[in-house]
Amino acid sequence: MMPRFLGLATLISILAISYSFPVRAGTLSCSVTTAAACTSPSVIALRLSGASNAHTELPSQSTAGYANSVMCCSGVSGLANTCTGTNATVAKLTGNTNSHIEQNTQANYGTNACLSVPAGGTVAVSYQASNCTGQDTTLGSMTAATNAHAGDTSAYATKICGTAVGTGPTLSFTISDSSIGFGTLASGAARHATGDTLGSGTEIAAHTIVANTTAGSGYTLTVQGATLTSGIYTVSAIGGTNTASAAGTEQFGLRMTATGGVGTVTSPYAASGFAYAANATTPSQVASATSGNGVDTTYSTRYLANIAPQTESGIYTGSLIYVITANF
Amino acid sequence: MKLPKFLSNRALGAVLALAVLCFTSGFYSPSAEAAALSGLSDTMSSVKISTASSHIIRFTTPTGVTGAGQTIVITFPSDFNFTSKTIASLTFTHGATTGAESTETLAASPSASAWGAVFSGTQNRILTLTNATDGTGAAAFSAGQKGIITYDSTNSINASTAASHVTTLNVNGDTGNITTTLLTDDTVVVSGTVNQSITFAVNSNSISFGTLDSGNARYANTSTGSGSDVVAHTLAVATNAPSGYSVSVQGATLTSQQNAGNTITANGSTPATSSTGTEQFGIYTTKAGGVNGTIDPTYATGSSFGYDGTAGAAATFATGSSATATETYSLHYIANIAPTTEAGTYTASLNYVATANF
Repeated sequence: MMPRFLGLATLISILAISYSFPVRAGTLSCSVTTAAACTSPSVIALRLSGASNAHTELPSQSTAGYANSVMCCSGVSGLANTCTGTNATVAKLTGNTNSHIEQNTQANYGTNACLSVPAGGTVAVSYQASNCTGQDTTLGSMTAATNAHAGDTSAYATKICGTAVGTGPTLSFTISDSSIGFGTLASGAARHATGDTLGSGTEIAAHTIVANTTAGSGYTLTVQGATLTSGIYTVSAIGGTNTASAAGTEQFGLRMTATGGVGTVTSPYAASGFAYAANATTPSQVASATSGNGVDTTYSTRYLANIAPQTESGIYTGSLIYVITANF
Repeated sequence: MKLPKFLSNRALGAVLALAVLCFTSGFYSPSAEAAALSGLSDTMSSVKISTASSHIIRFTTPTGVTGAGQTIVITFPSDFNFTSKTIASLTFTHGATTGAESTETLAASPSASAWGAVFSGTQNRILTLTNATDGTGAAAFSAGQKGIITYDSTNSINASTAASHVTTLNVNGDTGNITTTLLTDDTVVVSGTVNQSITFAVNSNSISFGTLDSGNARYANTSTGSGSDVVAHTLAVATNAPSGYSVSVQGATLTSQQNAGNTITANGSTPATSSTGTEQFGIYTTKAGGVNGTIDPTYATGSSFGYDGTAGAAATFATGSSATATETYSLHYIANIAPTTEAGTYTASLNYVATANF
């Protein structure tokens, strides 16, 4: 039979082991730190004028005096500070800045500071006396239920508590067409690729790429492949500088435009000219997102080809491999 | 104060000792350090199903891997296939800033200077790296460092399902997932056709020496001839034929219109300078523009004239070995006659033909 003291020791040991996972993947974790230290994928829930007895402002504000104490949260994929979708109000403010706050159950103030997660997840903010037992984390503290000043996690007895569950990072990626063409190239006028492979004399999207992730640090999208090639002959790629179409000069390039979501086209593919800096062995980044909000970004991809009078006759093809990499 | 019976002084001391032990010893520490990996990504060379792809797996470990026997485990999801994958096709680096600062040697089993690397599981989907026996290897993989593990594309075959797949990492207790998405086809094939073309132009179809004279050379031009060497006309050729082009000339030498038996002797294939008083008919040319047109030696020497075309056989005039922008040949014609050259009106019809070599 186990001695009684060993049973108690075992219990304490189990408690120690249970305590040993303070940060679990996918668990909301917040602290009061500086705005500079609260970098993506962390998000600012609320900015404070100080560590205690503080007025507040929304994360979208940038008052210098509020930069040293911000409620900074992370740990849940796709976490954001929007008040749309699946969200919870951290506090209600009297205005965008220099504000008193009240709890989200009060109805006196009309400006909300929020935390949000992608659809399918959950997020909740509550207020407890002394600690945030039973919740994921403590965002900060406040002096009262309404007409309150704010402080860091230890400033006041009334704690602002948060709990969130993400849906797990997701990544989706589609390419609308795998075979496009310029038709017949000519030295006298630019050609633009089309999905029907016949080509066009005017710029047009040949296909789209749709990317979407909830990965906290977004994604990168690259292209890799040799330029237009016919046997040993090639149409010269434009390279890494965005360049306008120049009929009569060999050019192969692409450009993109982005709509929706948080993805952006990467230079040199974002301007009105064209570029192509990849080759058969080296990829070139064409787009990226620095955060993931679970919303589709559609990249309209446009291709240009120009040839010189002496560009060798033949059928030219290029196989461009698009790869997306999520950054969790 | 009297303690409860089960909490005698001796027992309480033991309990406290164990509790302290639990909170301060290694028994506690590994669990306490377990955390979420960050900075996770898997950069692939292809996201096409059932296709060979390299992987560059990046992560940041809050805990680090600093003890002998501690491991990094990468588990690819179902259907990824690394059968016959060798550890020689892997690399492992780590460091504080880029993750590439220190390169660890990988071996079948760990040693003081190498990490162990072992594939296991179905189709080698699990890779286990075991820290060097000194806990360091090339350099300590400390808390907060970045790690980079690469697989080359040899024997690294993507799953066969076009969907999202989750690879799991366990770095000495720090855990994280990497989601990748595979497509039925990740390649956009773009095509275009460049049609064959050749352009060829003769800028004048009628030139003349004027009146020939045994005492002076005559040079053709588009008017009534010249006593000095001038360009009579040009030929311009351009083509996108990969193997270039050739230009030939064919036609009898100057021949009397009154008596076809009377001709002015052509210089032949060996160019010669002007020699007044001697029958000569010849051409030389210069070239401008283009890339690599080559004048046949018969016509290539300035102020030396040749002509080896005949009525029945074409002679090569110039060639180009590749596609070229316009190459312009400027042709100079000479005629000399002897005192005994029969009177008459002499003409020659020279047929120039350009042929592209596609």
